[in-house]
Amino acid sequence: MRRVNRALLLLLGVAAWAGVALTAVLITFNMGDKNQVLMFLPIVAVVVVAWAIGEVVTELVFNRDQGES
Amino acid sequence: MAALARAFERRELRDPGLVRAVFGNTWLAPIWLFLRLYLGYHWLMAGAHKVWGGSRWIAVPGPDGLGLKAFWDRAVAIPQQGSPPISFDWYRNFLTFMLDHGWYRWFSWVIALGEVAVGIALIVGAFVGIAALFGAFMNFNFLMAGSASINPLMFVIAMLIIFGWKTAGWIGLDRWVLPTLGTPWQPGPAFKSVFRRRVANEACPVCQMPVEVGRSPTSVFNGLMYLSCCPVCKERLDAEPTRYLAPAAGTP
Repeated sequence: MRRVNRALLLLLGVAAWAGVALTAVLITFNMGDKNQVLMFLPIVAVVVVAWAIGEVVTELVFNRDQGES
Repeated sequence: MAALARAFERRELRDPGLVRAVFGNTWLAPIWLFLRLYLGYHWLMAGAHKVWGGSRWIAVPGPDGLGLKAFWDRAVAIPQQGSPPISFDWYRNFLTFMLDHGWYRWFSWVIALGEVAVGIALIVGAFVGIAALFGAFMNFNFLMAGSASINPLMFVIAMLIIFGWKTAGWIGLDRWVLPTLGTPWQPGPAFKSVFRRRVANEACPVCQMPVEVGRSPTSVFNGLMYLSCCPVCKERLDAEPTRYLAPAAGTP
């Protein structure tokens, strides 16, 4: 895989987790504790999505390279 | 003397399978995720009230930390009847000292931003064990100051996460951060160059297979780090270091 593509994929993985932190802060600070379940669910969802993105990025950036070599 | 020597000789007490399955196996990662997010959410919420809310502690007109000062004032007060909020005199004296010196002005920033930081770290799953430790320390102090609220529940969850630090962040950033950084007893690739000079062997002492710094399991004997090719060889080396390291002792 080209170095640029690797860097972009890694950037995507980092951005996904930065997005989790940003989403959690925005949700918590803007919604208060009016409905804890409604706040909790989107935070769970973004964590799971970021984790899945991280797994895909790891597979593409590292494991595929090992297979090709 | 023999009894003392026997009592303090080095023994490694292994955890039972159930403990390893709960605290050291990734199959329970979804449960840890739930506990971690619940705790992180509550810390973030508590921090949000202190940083952002209408009755926030910091960045207010006038001196910061008046909310914390009011909390400490209530905590150190000794009522005419009934028991005081703080049970230990030394802790009351400690809070009184901080009140007298006006430390609430800067300490309110530490608490408010600390709560937000712990919340974010737990939610993204970065350094989960350390974040839970700091969270538990804050719970401990709130409890010592006589504020129960949900602190006991948060303290228990934090302690569980501290015990399960290896897997609590598996569905989180620790999935990548911990293997990269490693631990003091088994450094990861990020510290490969730092520890390179201290490694004592180039082949596994047990089976003579090649080893690699940053990937191979490590053991430390007499201040030197030895790499094993696999966890099985590491267990054998740890169990009988003199058997496997003795031949190498004479070599330069």
